[in-house]
Parts: sequence; C-alpha cells; structure tokens
Amino acid sequence: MEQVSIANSKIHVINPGHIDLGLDFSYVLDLIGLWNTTRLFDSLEMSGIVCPLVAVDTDLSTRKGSLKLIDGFKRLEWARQKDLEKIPVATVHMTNMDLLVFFLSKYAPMLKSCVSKALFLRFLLKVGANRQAVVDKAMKSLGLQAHKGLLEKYLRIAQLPERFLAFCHKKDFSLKRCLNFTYQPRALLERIMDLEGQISLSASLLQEVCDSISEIIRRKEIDVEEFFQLDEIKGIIDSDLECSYKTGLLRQAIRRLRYPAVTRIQKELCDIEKQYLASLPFKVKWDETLENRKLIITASIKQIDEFSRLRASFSSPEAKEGIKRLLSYF
Amino acid sequence: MKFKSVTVDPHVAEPSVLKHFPYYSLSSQSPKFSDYRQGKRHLFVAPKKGELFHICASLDTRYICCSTHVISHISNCPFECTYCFLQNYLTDTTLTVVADTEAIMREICYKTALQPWRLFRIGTWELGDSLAVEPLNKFAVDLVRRFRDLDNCLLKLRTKGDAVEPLLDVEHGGKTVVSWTVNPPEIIKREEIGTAGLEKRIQAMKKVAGAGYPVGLHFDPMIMFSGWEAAYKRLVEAIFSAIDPEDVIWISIGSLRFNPEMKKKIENNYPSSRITAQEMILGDDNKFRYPRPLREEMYRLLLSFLEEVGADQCFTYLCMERWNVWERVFGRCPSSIGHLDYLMAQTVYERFPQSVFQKPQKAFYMALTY
Repeated sequence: MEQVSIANSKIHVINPGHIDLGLDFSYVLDLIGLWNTTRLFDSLEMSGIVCPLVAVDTDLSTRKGSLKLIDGFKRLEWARQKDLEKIPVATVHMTNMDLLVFFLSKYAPMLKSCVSKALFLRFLLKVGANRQAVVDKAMKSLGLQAHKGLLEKYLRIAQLPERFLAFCHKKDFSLKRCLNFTYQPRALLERIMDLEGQISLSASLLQEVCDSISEIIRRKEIDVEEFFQLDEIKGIIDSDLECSYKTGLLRQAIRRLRYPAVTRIQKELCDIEKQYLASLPFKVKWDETLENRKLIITASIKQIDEFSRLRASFSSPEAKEGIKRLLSYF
Repeated sequence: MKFKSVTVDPHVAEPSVLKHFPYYSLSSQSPKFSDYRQGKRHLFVAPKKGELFHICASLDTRYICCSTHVISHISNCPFECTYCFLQNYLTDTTLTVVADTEAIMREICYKTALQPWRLFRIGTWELGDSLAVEPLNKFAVDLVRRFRDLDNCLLKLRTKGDAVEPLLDVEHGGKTVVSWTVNPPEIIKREEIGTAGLEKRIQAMKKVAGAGYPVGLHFDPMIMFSGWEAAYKRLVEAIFSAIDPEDVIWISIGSLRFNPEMKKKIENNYPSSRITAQEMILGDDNKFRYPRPLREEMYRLLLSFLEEVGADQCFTYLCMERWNVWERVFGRCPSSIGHLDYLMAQTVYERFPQSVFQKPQKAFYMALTY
C-alpha cells in the first residue's frame, strides 16, 4: 500500500477490493431511487477518479487492516466495474460522534420522506452510533422531534420489506400510513408489490386492500398465497383487463369477502332502489354501515312547476313502496 | 392469585386496611409499568383523591343506555380478557384500589341525596372486576354493609370470578346485586384469560342466590365464532339449570365492540385471538361492531333461548345499542334513557320489593336529561 500524509489524513493508493463497505448507505439511496449515477459515471469515464475516496479509521473499524469507506461508494463501484487495480483513498481518524456528524451532514439534507428517514436512522444505529446521540442529534437534523418513542416508530417502519419501502418512499407515505403497514403480515406486503403495475395502488387503496386481505386470511385461517389462489381473486388478477377496471373489480371482490353480510344486504337495498325508485326524480341514500335508520332523499329542481311534479312523485305508489321496503331493513 | 408487590400510600385514611396485607411497602407513588399486563401483578392501595362517583362513561345519547352509575375506585384487573378496553385506556397500569370506604360513601350519600326519588344503580366494575381477588372482595364487603342502609341506592358488583365467600354472611338487605359476565366455555378459555370457568361462576351464582342476593347476568360481549348459536344455547341452559330465573334481577345483552386503536392493541397483545377477524363495521361512534343484522340475529336467538328456560320474566336490556336495534329485537323500545332508567327501577320495585324503598315515579325519570 502506497501512502502519502496530508495534514491529519493520509492518502493511500490501494486495491478497490481491500475496502470495507460496512458503512455504506448508498445502497439504501439506490433502493429508494435517491441516487442517480448516470451523470457521475459519465464524468468518471471522461476524467477518472479525480478526488480521493474517503475511508475512516475509527473504533468502528474493527477488522484489522480494513478501511471503512464513508465517501465515494459510487466511484468505488465504477472502479470495480472497470477492474482498476489502484484508487486513491484518504483515511481520516474519527470518533463515533465525528462520524455521526459526518453522516448527518452528508445525507440528512437529501432525506425528505418518512421511509428515507427511517432507513437512515436504522443505518446509524447499525453502524454503531450511540442511541441517545441518534435521538438528540440525528432526529433533530432530520426535522423530527427528539423522542425515543418516535425513534422506535421509525425503526418499526425500517423493518418493512425492501420493495414495499421503496414503494412507500415513491408515494411519499406519511409516518402514520407507514406505521399502519407495520401491523400487516410481511408476506402480504411482499405479495401486494407483485401487483404493482397491474392495479392502481394509491395510498388509501393499498391500505384498504391490505387491511381487508389481512382480516380475510385471519378469518379463513389461510395464508397469503392461498388468498391469492381463491377463485374470485385469481380470476381477476390473471385477467387481461385494463388496470383501473381490474382495480375496481378486485376491490369489490375483496370487499365481498371481507363484508359478506353487509354486501349481501347492500345488494338487496340497491335492488329495491332500482325496482321502485330508479325512475323517480329524487335520489335516496341510506347509511352504508346499516347502523342508522335514516334515509336521505335529495332532489334538484330549476323551475317551480318541477316542484309540483316532484311532490307528486313522493306520493306515487312506487315511491311509498320503495321507501317502505328500504326502511324495513333498518 | 398473589401480587408480586403491594404498595400502600401512607395517606390512606383507614389504617385497618393494612391488616389485609402481610407484606407491603409504603410510598405515595404507585410503581410504574409500561405494559398494562405487568401492572396487573402489582397492587397499589391509594387514598381517595377527587370524585369517584359518576355516571357510566359509556353513556351516549345515540344509544338507549341504562344510565347506571359507577364508583371508579378500582383501576385495572388481575384478569386478562383479550377484548378488555383497559389495554388501550389506562395510563397508570398498576392495579389500584382506593381504600377509603368512608370517603367514598360520603360522596355517594351526598350526590344521591340530591335526587331522593331516584333509584341509583351503582357499579364498582368500571375499570376493573369487583370481586376478582383478595383483598378486592373485602373492600366489596365494606360497601355491601354500607349500602344496606342507603334507601335509594343499589350496589352492583360485577365479576368474572368466583370469590364470593366473603359476601355470603354479610347482611346486605337486598341492596346489593351480584352480577356475572357470562360467555360460553369456548370464549372463556380463549378470550377471558385467568377468569373462573363457567361451572365455577355458576356455582358462585348459586351461593349468592342462596344468600339472598339478587343476581345479575351480562351476556356482554357476545362473541361470534363457529358454532356460537349452539354454544350460547348451552350457556343459557347451564345457568338456568342451576339458578332460578326468580333470583335474576336483570339480564343485559351486548356484542363485542372496540375502537380502531383497541383493535390494533388486541391484535398486537393477543396475536392468536380471532375476535377481531370477524366481519365488523366501523360505526359513526368510532366503534367496530358486527353488522347490525348479525347482532340482531345474535340477540334474538339469545332471547329465544332465555324464553325456553323461562328467563323471559327477567328484565332484559341491550347495552350500547340504538333505538332501532331495540325495536327490531324486542318489538318495542324505551322512549328515552330516562325511560329505561324508570323501567329498571320499576322492575326492581315489582320483583324485588325489599331492594327498593318506594314506588318509582315515572314523571321524575322522564324529566332526566343527559
């Protein structure tokens, strides 16, 4: 290893294979799509590695003889792709606290989503940062309240499956939304991601679908895969229907499975409405939870003579019979 | 069950209470536990602070409520029901008992004297079981004695246990109702951890009925599971093969309900429980319940079982249900919460005359506002 000393750091020229990647956060940035390497790689093709990479020599560098890289992960990746035998690496000595401050200044400004913050906090703890320091310094740098309980919530989120985390980041899901997903079975979240592109997964739909499936599999005592093999589900997923139409059908099918009694009664109520009230100039709504005995009747008119017709329609035998039948369900 | 620790606040006004505990430490602070289940194993005996007597916190004018009153002098419970709301409610999780019967009684006497015409039904079960373990039932005995001389009050003890021995020789004057929450053995085993089994509860009912106490029954929460219909039929038959409907003062019926936060707590604390996996609807009161048609089916079926065993003579009411459910289940409905309060006083007057001091006046009850 060749070595040149500059101020308090030393520059080594070393084989890329001898560098330890234990402090690498860039793979997370790749995962959540925060790191675009195209321009960097173009520049490296033109000029090569101009600035030395930076490795740290701290109490975190436990393996003898290894240098833990803290800056230049993509340059190292490029050097390895190019089979370079030697690259310049500056080594600096840092305490754990110095290292924490370094990571915060390097990454915190670019982390805006709940998921990216969660992954970063987990990363800091994983590389040995002191928990209290993470609460006091890191959470503050990320614009969060410095609170242990909040840290635990973020760490729960960081445990979600990787593909799911990337999705939550892309959709910029809130802390509350992400936390809700931590209560779902892991296998379900992974399986749902297979549907990305096939159905329109908005935040609320994803939440609804996950909640429903998770209840159905608990009720039927089946596993996630068995759920997706149910005839009424598999038929829709395997179909060539257009995305939004497929989404609608899937949603209805899941709802029927989750709320069999309510959907059956809703259908009966809709049938009554169609049979007796559809041709009348007013709309009837009822409480879809079926709890409250209350029909809401709405109508709109533009001319005064329409009012007489409307009034007459209320007294029609169909209106009376339809409303009587609807009320009998409540 | 033995407590892992007993802490007595030195400000407890009745030193005689200390004789119940062979070992205890003195502190004005209760031990703190983050997990409410841990808190169940540690007892804190506290002095009375603030008001403890109030109307049931579940009272909601959207329902026809029974408007029972409660003394919240017990907080947390040694039993561990998976559906218990305490897991999402208590901030101080240590099992706490206010051991100051004198002060509690002063508050009750003062407040109930303001409506001398009214029969107050007063429970001790709001945040815990009235008779779960020693020494809670000894405190209950103190209350039973004191209620004997209160004209317009009925004490309601409610339990899932069988520790009734201390009550049997007490002169209660018919002024205490001992009640049980009942469920089929399948539910007791899976969802009411640590409570007495059905057979033990029934034996305890027989004992208190034998000692002249009116018995209350609470089929609440009714829980749906595969075979629930037959299970509830067997439950009703088992109870009324042991006790006479004449001894039962009232029967309440309700179904499982919880708010969304509780749902998460249940699933987190009891992952093997399936009670949250049934078809449930979130109503405008922010509570999950079985859909109304299913609840009505449960209630009607239970009523038919009660009728079969001759228990339809007992006053039966619904807990936390709306007037339309009452109408569809019973074919009638009290016109207001005050009306139900009156009907309950009336049934006590007619069926248990020793428990009530005067004929209830409907007009007074109907004028009550909530």
